[in-house]
Amino acid sequence: MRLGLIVNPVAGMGGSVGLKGTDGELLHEALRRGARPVAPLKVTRFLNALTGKGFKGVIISAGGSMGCDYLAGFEGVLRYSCLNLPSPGKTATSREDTVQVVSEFVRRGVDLIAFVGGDGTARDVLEACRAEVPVLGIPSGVKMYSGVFAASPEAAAEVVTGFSMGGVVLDYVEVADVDEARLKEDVLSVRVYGYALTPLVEDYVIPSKDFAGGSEEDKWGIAEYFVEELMRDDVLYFLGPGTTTKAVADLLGLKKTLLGVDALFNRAVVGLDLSESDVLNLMRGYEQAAIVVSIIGRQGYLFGRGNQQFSARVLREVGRQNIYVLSTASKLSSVKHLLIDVGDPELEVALSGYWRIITGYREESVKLVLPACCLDRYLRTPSGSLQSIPQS
Amino acid sequence: MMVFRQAKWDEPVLFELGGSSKQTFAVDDEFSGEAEEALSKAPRHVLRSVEPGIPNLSEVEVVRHFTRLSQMSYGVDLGPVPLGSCTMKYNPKVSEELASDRRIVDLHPYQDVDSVQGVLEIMYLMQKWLSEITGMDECSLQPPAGAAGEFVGALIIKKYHLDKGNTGKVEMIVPEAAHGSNPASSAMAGFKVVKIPTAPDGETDIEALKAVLSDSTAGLMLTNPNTLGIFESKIVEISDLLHGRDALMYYDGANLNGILGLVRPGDMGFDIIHLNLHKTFSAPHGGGGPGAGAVCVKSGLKEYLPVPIVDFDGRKYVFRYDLSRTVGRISWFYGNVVPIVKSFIYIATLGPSLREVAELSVLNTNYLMRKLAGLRGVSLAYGEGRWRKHEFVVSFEKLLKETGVSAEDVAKALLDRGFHAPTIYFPLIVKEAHMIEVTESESKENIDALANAYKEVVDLAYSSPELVKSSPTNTSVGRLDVLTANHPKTLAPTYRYVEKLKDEGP
Ligand SMILES: Cc1ncc(COP(=O)(O)O)c(C=O)c1O
Repeated sequence: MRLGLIVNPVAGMGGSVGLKGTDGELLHEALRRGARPVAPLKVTRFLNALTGKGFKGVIISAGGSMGCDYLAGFEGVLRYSCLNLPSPGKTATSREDTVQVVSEFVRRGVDLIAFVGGDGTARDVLEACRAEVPVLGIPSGVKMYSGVFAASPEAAAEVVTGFSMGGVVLDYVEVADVDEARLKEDVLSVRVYGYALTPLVEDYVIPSKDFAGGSEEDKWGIAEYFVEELMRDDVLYFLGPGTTTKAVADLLGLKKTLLGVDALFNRAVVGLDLSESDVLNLMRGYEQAAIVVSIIGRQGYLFGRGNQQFSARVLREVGRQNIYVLSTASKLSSVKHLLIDVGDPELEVALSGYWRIITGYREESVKLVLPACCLDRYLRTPSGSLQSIPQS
Repeated sequence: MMVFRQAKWDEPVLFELGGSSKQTFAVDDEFSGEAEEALSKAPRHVLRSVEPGIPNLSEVEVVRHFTRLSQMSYGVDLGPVPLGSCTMKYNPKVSEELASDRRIVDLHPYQDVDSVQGVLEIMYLMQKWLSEITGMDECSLQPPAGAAGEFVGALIIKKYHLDKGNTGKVEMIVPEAAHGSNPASSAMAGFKVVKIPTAPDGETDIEALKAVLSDSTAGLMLTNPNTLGIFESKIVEISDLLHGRDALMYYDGANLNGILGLVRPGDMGFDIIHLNLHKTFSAPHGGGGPGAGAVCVKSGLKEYLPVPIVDFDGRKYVFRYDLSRTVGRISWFYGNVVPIVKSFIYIATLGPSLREVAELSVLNTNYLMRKLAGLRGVSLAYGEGRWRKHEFVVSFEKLLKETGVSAEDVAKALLDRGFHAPTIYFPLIVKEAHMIEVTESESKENIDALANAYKEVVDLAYSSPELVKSSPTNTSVGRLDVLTANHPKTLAPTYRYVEKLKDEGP
């Protein structure tokens, strides 16, 4: 089997600095805000897991920071060859490079293309491969509304190995992305840009986001319960993105950005659209902090998609007992379990287990939360190894 | 194969039937003087100035009207009603006949107890029998339905904890696969509802249960076998876990068809149970009610039961209202007595063979399950490879994906083949679900016919899906638009409401 591997080295950098993406000019803003690359770590995790699985195929990769740099520095045993693309010596990579590399993969007849990136990268990959070759996303973006992404780099390695052994189902899934122009007006509008052929392995490859939320009424019930019975004075609350958390602010008559992280203290706004470092700084001024988040429908992410400001560091400081999760019942029933993908396997495992989710007025539902890094410890793997019982 | 066709009468509602007045106050000539005199003596304010707004029809018109309507409806007397969770068994005519006796239907709730000793004896025996069947110590027949019994149970749990001074017991745990009335009754009784998931083997996820158990836990509402028809094998461990936290175990016994005479909720560790007499014990339901929902408890909770209960003082049967911790009344008078009598007859005629009800139901269920689970596009949700008890749930998710035919389309197509469709889209944890229960009443021939109908529909879904999606066509009413059919603007419970809607316009 021949695997095409391409990396968007800047993907995901906008996340922790409170940007909704890293596409186009947003990258400069991300760099200005001091963002650090996230893709290299994801590639390394992917390659490690792939060796661990005993992957027997050949990797064909883009050159430099778009692939071969990581393979060259990698310690495990993997067979690979490098393309002379993008042209060596180029300092900044662009979407044109992605298109060029993927076209070359197609020309050389690779069996599967794995890319490291987010929705923007997925669109570029799709443009070049025109759904003729199956693609799999190794999640590294800020936005990942498309259905091509594995749950984590490790899950991607599972899927690739399963694929190389045959017997994995391929199907067309949505490649979606937010409308950046409307996002500036704080309006969430997601468009489907096309359909990519993807190896689908239940639990390991995450479906596209469910764009329909629950009913308004459910959200009010959730917000009322939270405000009346759970919210306390003298605690700093960070509200994550989404319409469910926004209902809480609406009920209190306060402003809330739809896609940002905002902070409330004693029923007043003390911060809007915060970055990870804003969150950490703000916390220093208060005795106790809590996080209120919602989940991403159908995909089931609790942390790691669209709310990267709640980084591993933030979550460690706040502590599990101070995290409230809100979701309408219909959204919750669209997922079998919830996922945490914060790039810190140790924390992900520590936070996994059964969580109470607030689903209505004085109503809670229990859901299993799994670490995206290490699904094979909890679930049957695509190559069929045994399932272990989750520890709570 | 038998072709199914339902009558299609263009039958107006009773109030819009007929025209000219056919009703009058007919008095023989020889009494006309008395009649006039009586009328003239009546106080003016009780005399009507306008005609009453009731239908103006002759007897034959009324009979024909209802006969036509009956030809356009469907029930267990016409064919199988395999509605999961509803236990639509045949209602023996002997029970109907005896319970229609004037000595039952003409009883008045204010009659002196000395004049109703017979029916009190029936109620007393029912309290005893139901206690024996469920492994409990005392029952009250007050609740008029299952959900009312659940509400009583939740109130008992609340009062029990408050009596012990435990004000922090505010949470009721309910499996997410439970019947909707479980969380609803808990919420009505003032509890916070905590829902726990089902594990892949179809049983309650015991790790999730352990994770949420706390000193705030007031109780757990469970049904066993659960709504997937799967027996909770760790039930004793679950009871011990709850009791270890001083929380009570509530059994939703709406349907006992899977365990009757085989195992008893009381022995599993449950403290409170309600029973739907209109399911397991064959009093009619589904438009045919009224229901009856006995509630039974272990001896320690006896004083909490709703009143009155029937007691025997050695000489005669009496009503007792003096239970010291009673949660009060949940219904008028003594509950719904007629269905209680019907269930009494059902139990009395079966005697020790009551156990065969469960044995046959379980056999029928598994026979049908095996036939359906092998069909293309159909899968068993949860508990692969396990036997079911009184019911089972299949999923048409794969069929929908491959053909565009949904569980609802399959249900509509079954109607065309002379079967009432099973419960669909419940439990909520199974996508594209059919919840199927054939009870002990259906013969092997009928079950085979149902299985064949399913096979025919599924095959058709793969060859001509549009034919399935246009069903039903053999029924009195064709495919309804679900939204308008359920909208308050079209669903009118009374004629007065119909008129109000007409006044308001569309
Ligand atoms: C499992 C279960 N519990 C409770 C009920 C409620 O019973 P009722 O309709 O008599 O209120 C039902 C009725 O469908 C049921 O199936």
